[in-house]
Amino acid sequence: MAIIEIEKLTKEFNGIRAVDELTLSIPKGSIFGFLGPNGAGKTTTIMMLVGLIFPTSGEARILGESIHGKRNYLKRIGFLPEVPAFYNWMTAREYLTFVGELFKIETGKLKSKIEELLESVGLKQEKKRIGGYSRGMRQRLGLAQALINDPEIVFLDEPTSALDPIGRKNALDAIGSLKDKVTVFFSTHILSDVERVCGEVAILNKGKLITYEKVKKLRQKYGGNCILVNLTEISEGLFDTLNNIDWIIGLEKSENTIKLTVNDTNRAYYELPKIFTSAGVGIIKLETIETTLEDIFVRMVVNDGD
Amino acid sequence: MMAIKVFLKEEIMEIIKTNKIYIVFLLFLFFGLSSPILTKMMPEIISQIAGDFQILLPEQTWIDSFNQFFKNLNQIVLIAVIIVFMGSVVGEVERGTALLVLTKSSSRASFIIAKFLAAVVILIISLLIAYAGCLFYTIILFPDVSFALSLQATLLFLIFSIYILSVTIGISAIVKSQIVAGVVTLGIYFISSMISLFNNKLGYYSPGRLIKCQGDILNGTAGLSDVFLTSAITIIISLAFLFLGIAIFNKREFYSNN
Repeated sequence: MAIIEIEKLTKEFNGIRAVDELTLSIPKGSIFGFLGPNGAGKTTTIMMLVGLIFPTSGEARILGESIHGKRNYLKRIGFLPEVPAFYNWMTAREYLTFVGELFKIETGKLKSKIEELLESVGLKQEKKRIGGYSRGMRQRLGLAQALINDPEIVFLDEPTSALDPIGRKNALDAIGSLKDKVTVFFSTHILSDVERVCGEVAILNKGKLITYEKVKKLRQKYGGNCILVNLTEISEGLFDTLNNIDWIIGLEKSENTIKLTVNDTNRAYYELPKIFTSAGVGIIKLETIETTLEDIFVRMVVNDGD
Repeated sequence: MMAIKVFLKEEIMEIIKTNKIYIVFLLFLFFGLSSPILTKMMPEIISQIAGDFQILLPEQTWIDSFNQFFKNLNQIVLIAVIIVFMGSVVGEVERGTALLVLTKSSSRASFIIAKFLAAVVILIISLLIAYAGCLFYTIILFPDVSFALSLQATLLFLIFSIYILSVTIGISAIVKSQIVAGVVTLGIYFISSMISLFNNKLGYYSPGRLIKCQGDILNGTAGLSDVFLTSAITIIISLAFLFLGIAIFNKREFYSNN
């Protein structure tokens, strides 16, 4: 059953479409990755869904309720913007108490919920005012406030972008633990984060939906196979030759290494050594590697641009 | 109602913790205490300045003391109040703090009403203490002080200052920067004061007449019944500014401040 249904949602700014007839249906309990380069329309989409900006046209239903109505669903969702801003004079406990009171959470229950959330985001011992927090600490507090009302859906806009590796791991663990309990709408440009926690992913580019699939299916469908070749040298001529071969669908170069995405691995094993030999370069190492979401994402966004 | 209560509590805490309260409170108190003393000492100060020149001043009375008090409140204090509260709504939008709280299922109207009520509460407390201080020193320094007349003149200031607060908060909800909010609100304040100088119907019913009439109330040449209609119109205009602010704020879009 879909908990978020988006139908031809469009937002124009001065005649330019930031979100262009976006249609999505997100099932309950899923961790949904919303991917796209900067300016793709991810934040605009989330801001429309949480009622901060209004669509030019189209419809979205959250928990069965239209975003054009009274938006009573706001009581049942959580939201974390990319750069959460708090009252700097408050402490984390004071802020969570304030937010909890806005949700009319009963005092006793609120106190225990606050302690539980502060523990889970690693801010339990923090007594100082929010004004003295680092960006990472603010992000963690943002995650806590988004979960204060035990939401059924939580919208997270780039929740890990400001975190250090340990903070990111903790945040992703926390997001992953929500699976099957809370539907997570997770906007990000960090592909490894999506691979780690998301079951489904939509890729947005220039406001348009390029694809919406389960991560596994996306790999099968668009992944192809990746071959990493370490060569003695790489000439411009060789790179151009590879670029013009039809069974090579992706090509990246760094120093003496070429990463090729091919749609016919067997053919590549036979043909590639011949190509390198005729170009006069030696093969130091050749290996097959798994296609990452990043490869697919880059290819899809680049192709979409073409 | 619950959301207004929560926002109101937060707003009053913010006014206290960010020291805004001290600016408003101390200004009120300063003029409450200094006005009677300055009025009493005025003849002596002027004669010191004048030196050999003989300047005859009429004897200072409790009315002069309160006139001095209201003159300071109507000008310096109200301008300070506008500056302190001009960013109440737009400041939160600029800093991005409004973004999170407006997605917590509480109405945008409650967010604005709470800001207005918090400012009114701070103003009333500051005014009452300043008035008590002014009254206390005036009774000590001058004879025959009329408690009733001074209280009536204070009531007129209260209505006018609530009007200024509703303009301040309403404009703060409409415009997109604190500076614009300040300039527009100060403009309305000056225009309100200027219009009251016109000797026609516009001047008679303009909010500025409330502060223009304080002197007449103090010396007994006018009563509250003379400013009843002006007071009612001022309250209606105040509500209109507030509702206009809420209506426009309800239609506003908010963007992430990244």
